Amino acid sequence: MNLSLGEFQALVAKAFRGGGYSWGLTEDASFVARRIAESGLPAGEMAVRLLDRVDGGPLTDRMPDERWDTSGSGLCPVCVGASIADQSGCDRLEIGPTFEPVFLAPFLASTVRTQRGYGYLIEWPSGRCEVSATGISVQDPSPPGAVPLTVSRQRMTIERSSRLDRVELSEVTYERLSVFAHRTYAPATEASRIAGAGAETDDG
Amino acid sequence: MTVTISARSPDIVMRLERMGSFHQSRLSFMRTLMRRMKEEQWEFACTRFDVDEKGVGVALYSATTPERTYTLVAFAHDLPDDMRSDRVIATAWDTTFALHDGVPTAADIERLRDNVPQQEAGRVSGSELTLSRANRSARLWESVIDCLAAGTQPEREVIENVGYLMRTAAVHGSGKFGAADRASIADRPELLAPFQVEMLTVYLIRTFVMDLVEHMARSKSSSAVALNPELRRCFGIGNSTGLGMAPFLVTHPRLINNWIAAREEALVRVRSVVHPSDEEVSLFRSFVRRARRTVETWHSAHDLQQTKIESLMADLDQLDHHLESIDLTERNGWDRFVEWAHANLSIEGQELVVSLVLEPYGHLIDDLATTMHADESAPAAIDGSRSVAQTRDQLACDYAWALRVSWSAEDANARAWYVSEEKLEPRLGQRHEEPVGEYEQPLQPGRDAARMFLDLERSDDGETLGSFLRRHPEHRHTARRLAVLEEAPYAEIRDNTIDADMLPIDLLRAKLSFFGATHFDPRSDRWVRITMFQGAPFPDELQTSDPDAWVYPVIEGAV
Repeated sequence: MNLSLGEFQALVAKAFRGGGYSWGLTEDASFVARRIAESGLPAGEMAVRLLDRVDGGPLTDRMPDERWDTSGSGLCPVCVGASIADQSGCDRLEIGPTFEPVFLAPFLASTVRTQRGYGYLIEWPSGRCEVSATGISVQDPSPPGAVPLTVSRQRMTIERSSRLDRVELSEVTYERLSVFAHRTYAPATEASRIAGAGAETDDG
Repeated sequence: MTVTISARSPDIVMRLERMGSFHQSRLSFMRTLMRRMKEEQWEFACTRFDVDEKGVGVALYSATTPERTYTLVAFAHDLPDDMRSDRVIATAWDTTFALHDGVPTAADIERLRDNVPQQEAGRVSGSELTLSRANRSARLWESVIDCLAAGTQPEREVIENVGYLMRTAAVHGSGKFGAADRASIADRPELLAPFQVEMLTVYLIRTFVMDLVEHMARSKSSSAVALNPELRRCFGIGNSTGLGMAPFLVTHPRLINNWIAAREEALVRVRSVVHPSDEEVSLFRSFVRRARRTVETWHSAHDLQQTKIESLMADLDQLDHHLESIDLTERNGWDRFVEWAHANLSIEGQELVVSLVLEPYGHLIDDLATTMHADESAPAAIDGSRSVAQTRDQLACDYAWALRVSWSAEDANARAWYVSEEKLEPRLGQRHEEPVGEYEQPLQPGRDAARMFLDLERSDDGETLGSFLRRHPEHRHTARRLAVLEEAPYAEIRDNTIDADMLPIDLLRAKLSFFGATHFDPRSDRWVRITMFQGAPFPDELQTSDPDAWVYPVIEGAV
């Protein structure tokens, strides 16, 4: 399916809400997914893998503790990224096992928007991601499962990459995101349909 | 002595009762578009009109700016009367439309023919900017055709009372159903102001509808006449807007701030005029007379709106009386006049005065139209280094109104905004009567702020906001709204959006007034009919008309 960025962002927002995220984190998640999709990476697939991994567990298990770690099965990169962005970035951090590390990148990029020539290196055992305000470069974008991360702010120049303005999603990914999104909808009843929309039949 | 005028406080402006009394103004998006189309001498053409005698077919209307062309692709259908509904659950319409970015090829038109008539069940592409539909007014459509076919003109009064031949039931833009994202077109100067593609779509639909009604009359009788141009202009386009639009004002805080701030700044600029000229005052006085005519033709079946219209008529009487006794050209005339209006008129009347005093001052205020957009692509940054104590103090200041509400009271918490499985549209439920609470959308910033305040009070003063939000991720959206409010004082509606007595039509009217709508006619507490572009010059008249003055009906003896 070919989606507008806005449609994709709205779908991801609903999917994260359906996946148990708070409204504020849902805004963050859908924004970073959009940014990742704009750079041509498979953000929809990453979002589905992340949601499948954390589904059913409490949100607190996905949130980083004071040591940037968790006693749960793995950290959520949206929760970690939001926390790093809230503290305006970091010099260097060792972070416990985290799913889909590329989701951290847009958060980190937002903290170096005004620091020309700086960016972040995110490293995990099998790959790495470099990100700055102008671009992103990734090796092994989706490691299997949660991986320990090292995040460090560094001088770097990444060639300005062009941004896509549409998102291509496979039917499978679209359907899977829609399943999560569907959890946010109240089941329809005739009574609520009439009362809730407040419409009349008059058509003058 | 020079008086320094301050903008009205958000505590006054951002109340639902007042927002539900806003009127269109020079800064309304429809008027911004009309001014630009005239100034840049846009060229318009009907490049295809293939509609049969039953009213079925396709037509193309192009609008060419100095830089590019936009084309309305219009599909006309033969809809059985029993299928006609403005509701979002409808599946067929009299007419359906897409605004194409450029000149569509034959393949584009075929692609659109397969999708546009299905509306939400179809898909458009990044080459389309809007998707919309319109239904006939059962009251007027047939009678206008009959008149024209019989060689006569319809009665002006009948036209004015209804105001339109067709009502749009939705105009989707901004990436919906596959259309181009706003971000991908927002750098075009003609689309910088909000909702310009939507307004252009409606303007072109109006032209098509008038051509269609004349075509239908000609199909009925070879001796049919065309509408007299003056009567033709009396037709606007209707619009039926339901609850689906209401959340917009809550979910776009930075954008709403910029709309309101522009209008409030315009008011400050006019109130700051020290010596109003004779010409400006005379223009204002004529607009007051013409605005009365708008109010006289404003009918509503809804009791609440009817009461508001009656008090507005009484306000206009009082206003006339007052205007006889004052000389507005005296020093600080506008400021004193606006003060008088606030002290003496109903809220409807006060807001009408705000719009009217802006009318003579295009040269002072029209530039504010370029400040009304907002880049909302990235969520506002949260400064997590703040302390809990600082955050609590800021919240207590920005949400003082919300902390005064007793949220445990049943009425204060009576409603819940949710999205239904059925049409994926926002609905408003009764929290205590229906199982909708767990599906609640974040559309009650006041209650959520009060909840965050309680948790802040239970936390250590010195804890950072960042740490607090890790413990309380459920307050993150409220923390973000606080960040927005620091730079955008009009970002938040300062009223309880889930109160038992809250009227969703207030939210709808606030937004529609910024579009430029007139004749608000609520059909219940949660959907409203309006008129757009009534009186506006058609494309072929634009270059010889005033792009602003048409908003108020022409009356004899007034400028």
